[in-house]
Amino acid sequence: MVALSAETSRLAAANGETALGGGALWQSILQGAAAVAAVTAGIVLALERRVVACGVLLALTGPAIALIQVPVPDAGTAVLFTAALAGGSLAPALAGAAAMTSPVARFRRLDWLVVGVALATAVVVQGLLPAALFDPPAAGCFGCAHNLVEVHDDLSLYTRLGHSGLILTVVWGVGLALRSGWRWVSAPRVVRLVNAPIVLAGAAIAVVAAIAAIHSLSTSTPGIDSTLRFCWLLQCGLVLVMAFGVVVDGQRARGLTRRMTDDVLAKASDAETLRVTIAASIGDPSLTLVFLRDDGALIAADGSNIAETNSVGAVVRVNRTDSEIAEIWYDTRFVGASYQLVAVVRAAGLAIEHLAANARLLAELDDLAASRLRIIAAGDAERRRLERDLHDGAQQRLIALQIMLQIVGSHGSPELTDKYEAARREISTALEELRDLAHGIHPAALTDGGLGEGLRSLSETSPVPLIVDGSRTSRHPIDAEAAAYRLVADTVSSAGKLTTASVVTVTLGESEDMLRLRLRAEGVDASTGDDIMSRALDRIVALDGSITVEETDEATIIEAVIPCGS
Amino acid sequence: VRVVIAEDMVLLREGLTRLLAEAGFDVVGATGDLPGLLELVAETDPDVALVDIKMPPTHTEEGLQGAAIIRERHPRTAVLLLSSYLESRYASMLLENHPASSGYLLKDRVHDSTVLGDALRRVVAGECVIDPAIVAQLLGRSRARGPLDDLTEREREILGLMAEGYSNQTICRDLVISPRTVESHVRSVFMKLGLDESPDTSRRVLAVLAYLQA
Repeated sequence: MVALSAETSRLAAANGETALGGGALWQSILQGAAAVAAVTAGIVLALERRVVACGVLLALTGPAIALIQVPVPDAGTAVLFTAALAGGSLAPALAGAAAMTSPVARFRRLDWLVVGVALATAVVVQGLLPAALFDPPAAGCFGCAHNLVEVHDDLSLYTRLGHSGLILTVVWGVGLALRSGWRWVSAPRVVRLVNAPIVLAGAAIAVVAAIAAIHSLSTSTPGIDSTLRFCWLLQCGLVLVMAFGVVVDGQRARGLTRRMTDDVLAKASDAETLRVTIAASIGDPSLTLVFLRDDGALIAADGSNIAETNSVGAVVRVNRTDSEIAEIWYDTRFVGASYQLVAVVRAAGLAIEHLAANARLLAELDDLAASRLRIIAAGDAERRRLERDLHDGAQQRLIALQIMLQIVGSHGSPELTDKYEAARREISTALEELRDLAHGIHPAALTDGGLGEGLRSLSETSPVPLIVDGSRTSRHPIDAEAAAYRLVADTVSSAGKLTTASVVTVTLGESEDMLRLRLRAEGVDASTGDDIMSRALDRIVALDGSITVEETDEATIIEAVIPCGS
Repeated sequence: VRVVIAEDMVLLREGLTRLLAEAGFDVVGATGDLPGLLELVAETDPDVALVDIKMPPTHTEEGLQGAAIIRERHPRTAVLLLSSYLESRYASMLLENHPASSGYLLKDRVHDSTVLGDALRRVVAGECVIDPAIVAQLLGRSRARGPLDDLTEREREILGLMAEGYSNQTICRDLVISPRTVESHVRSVFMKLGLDESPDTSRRVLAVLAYLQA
């Protein structure tokens, strides 16, 4: 690139009159600098900032600028002559297209059309087609080098193509300037700020291209005059502005990283503050910060799960040691400022890492709590199944056996009848024990009738008087009912073992989403109360509930709150 | 006495059928679920239906529903509910709407054809029958001091018999005391418990059960 630029500058210096940019030293330096700057800025954009289309177009503008410097009639070699002949109009179109593809807004069909017309005009109508029709000797240029792409000599068609190319240039120049200007104006503030040099300078290049074309159309003599030369040098200056904008952006991003690092360290201790800080940096209030678990599942800062469909569009991924730990979701309208956003996120890296670890820990705690709940629920379900099996299976069989013994026994001899009678009594005892066992495992009244019926049934077999305050009929989740029932059952059976205990009173306070239990156990000491609480604790805490014990002079009071949500 | 049996366990159903036949009952049909029972009752118009409380499809309270429907549609047919649950709430649910000609018997008692036969004959006669084990559990539960403690031994015994559904005549026959004595005991019990005395034996059972359950 630099070599090409140096070679064309040398040629231009030697044949200043036939080179578009002129042959003076400052003119050569301006054009060379524009070419080198365009290539460098384009590469930076495409590779470092991932603005690929815009970067590639800007980078291609560099060689195109170098080609325009070639004084066509005096181009030494056939290759350079042919390239200058075919590529002489590329630079403004490429720079304009780069401005259009700068990510300030979504690329619409109209944008495709404008960029397409610009590139097609420069590459085909003003490039390959006329080159293919141009025969240097026939056109009177005997000093010209050989045209490598010539297929047919048609000077009049060549001239008409040149005319059409100029008209098309006016069209795309104006269209591109208007479109990219509109795209820029309708973008959010931060996007406008970041992309101003590339878009506005690019649009200006398109306008100048249109002005130059109008000038060429209005003058009868073809060739290079001072207006065209001025236009071209102005365009080179504008390319320098575009490249300069890329440098400024880099500087601004670095400054942002520095400022944010202090900011984040100073105040972003929690996820929401950090989110707001990051959101404010690009002005997108809908920006969301989510974290990833090892299996890739998305979680919020509090560890709760997030449905992937919540994503608003654009994403910045935060990686640490080969794995992604967080994502920042933001509105696609702000994609044009993604480089700034990445700079901010880089500054917040440590804070994000810390929050991600925290979120994962919370998610794991949630998992643990859920698994504890599942274990308890599975245990309860197993108890219910066992109770049902005892009733519907073993008990029924024993009863059938009793009946058969009775039928068989009534037909036998008297002493056999006595033996059968004794056997039936044994079975009766077994049945009673089985019933007590089944009831202890899980009372059917609790399953079928709910907590109120379960407690009433308990009060009929309780070893100490159990008074249930207010009979309730509303049902609650079976886990919550079982937890409450077991607390009361354990309290009365513990009280039953004490000679001092007199009465246990349960007061139920129920609401839609909460089950409140107040147990007043008279004559029960605090240490027994603590034992009862510690046995009930796991079950109740697993349901997100709480339990407290308080001792008064005559009684121990146990209070439990069990949430019944979902 | 014409009986239909509703019991889902085949072994038990057949055993009951034979047992009742040998005890002199006329078993006119046996079925294993609630729709079958309702059909059978409508077809055969029996004196009494012997119904298991838990039957297909849900194995929860089909027997109770069946009892309510039978007492509603066929007032002439008595219902004796069989249950393996020592739950007084099932007994009260059964008696709630149609206390007469209804009974609740624990299943482990049915092998004794005298007890079963006696219970069947009593519900057919219009009495109500509550299993003694249920009444014993209610009477024996631990409770804070109250009016029950003021009853004499004999009054407690009579309260128990009333809860099981016995009429005054049966009580005086069982305890071998005069009807006048029974009446005065009954009156004394109701007064001590603060209950209104009901002339209807089956309503009386409900009141006593409710008192004991409270």
